[in-house]
Amino acid sequence: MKSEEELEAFFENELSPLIAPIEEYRIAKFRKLKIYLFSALGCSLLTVLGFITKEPFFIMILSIPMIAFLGSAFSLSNKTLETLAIRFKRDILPELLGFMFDDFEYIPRQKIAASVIEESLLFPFTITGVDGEDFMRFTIGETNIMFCETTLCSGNTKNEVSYIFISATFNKYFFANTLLLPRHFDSFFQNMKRHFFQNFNKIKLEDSDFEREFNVLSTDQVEARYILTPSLMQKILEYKMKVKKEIAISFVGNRLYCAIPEFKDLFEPAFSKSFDLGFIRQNYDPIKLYTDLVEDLNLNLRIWSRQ
Amino acid sequence: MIGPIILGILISFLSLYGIYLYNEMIRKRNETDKAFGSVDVMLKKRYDLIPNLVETVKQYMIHEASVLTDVTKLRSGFSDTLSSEDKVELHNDISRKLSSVMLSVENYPDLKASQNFLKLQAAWNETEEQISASRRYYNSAITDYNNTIQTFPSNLIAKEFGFTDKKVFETDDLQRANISAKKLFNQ
Repeated sequence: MKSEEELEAFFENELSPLIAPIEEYRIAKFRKLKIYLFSALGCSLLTVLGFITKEPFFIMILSIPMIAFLGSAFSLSNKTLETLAIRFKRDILPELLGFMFDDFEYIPRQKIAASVIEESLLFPFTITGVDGEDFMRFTIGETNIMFCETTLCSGNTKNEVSYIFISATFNKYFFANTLLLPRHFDSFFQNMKRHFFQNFNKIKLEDSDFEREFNVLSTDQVEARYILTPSLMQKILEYKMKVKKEIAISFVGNRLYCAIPEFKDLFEPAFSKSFDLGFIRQNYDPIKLYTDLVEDLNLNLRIWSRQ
Repeated sequence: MIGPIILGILISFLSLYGIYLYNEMIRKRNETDKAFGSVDVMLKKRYDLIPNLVETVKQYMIHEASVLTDVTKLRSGFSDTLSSEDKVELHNDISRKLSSVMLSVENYPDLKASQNFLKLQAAWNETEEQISASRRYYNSAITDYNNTIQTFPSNLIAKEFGFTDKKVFETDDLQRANISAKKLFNQ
């Protein structure tokens, strides 16, 4: 992984020239927005005058300029944010990903298919809709990893949950399904459903810290332990502490799936914030954190039959 | 009138609870047998690997020829009719011998470069992990069973129906030697 100095040098030498026109555009639009907002503020005096007359006709007429300026500011803000996001995701983010990884794929508008999410067996509810963006795929050593911002709808659209959904190839072959769920992730009935309809059984492991953090379920007692070696359990705990969120992991079909709750919309520029090193780091850090899963869980170690 | 009814309910409750505890102990004992079954499968898998491993390494390891002959002899002693204790004992003997063989691999660069050996090494590592996983399952089942028959009130029923403690698959020096061999593979 790249060092802090390398990131700074990359920002100075490679990204800055690409950022300059976007930043110029942002500043110009931001200036325009401020003019609209100050004009709206000035015109609000007219509206006050209208209220003093207590005549509805004058109130209406004298409010029009303020409403027009506010409407223009709103429209300008939306349009500019959209343009900034498109240009950032087209010109800057791929460069940043290229700096971080040799082999990557980035599709801004793509989401993870509902079938993949269902395949992960992580979510006990019926998924009625999947939304998402910023699909990224990397090859790190011999491991293929992909992640995507994902919003799941269950029942009706009011029940929405947002995750970073990660899928990576695992370094061992296995046939059973194993789940590591945060405590209280499933309700009592969802737990029953997993037991009776999906054949999951509780696995008691030796690591008490791990047991405290995760409810481990599997369709095979031996394979669950084959996957969850004492060292992997320790690594998963360390990764959870690093992420500082309630992560859910599943091992299904020789892949590792991981869902990390994320309420922030990542990889989106802000109108009022400049495209400086701090902003680039804001985008660099989550990508690093999610792809660190490969290094942290040692997924490139292939000393077993799987070569 | 209320007294006999309460007594009846109490006796029914205790009988049902006793049946539940008895069934629970049977279920847990069966679970330990099932768990040993999985250890057994993995041990067999390892025995199947041994002839290939011996065949591959003996071309290079001239000085360890006698150890390899011993391993082959020990392996031929394996039979499904052996008791679980004998199987574990045999497994430990073979592990001890093979560990010394594996520790000597470093002295044979040609062997370390052999593709056939590398494949066997990966398969060996996998079997080691599987044995370790099944042993952990077995120990977990045994601990669960022992806890049940040793705690009150199920210990009363256990004593009455002859449920006895079972020994866990201990990680002794032999197993540690196995792990050393695995570490050696990783170098």
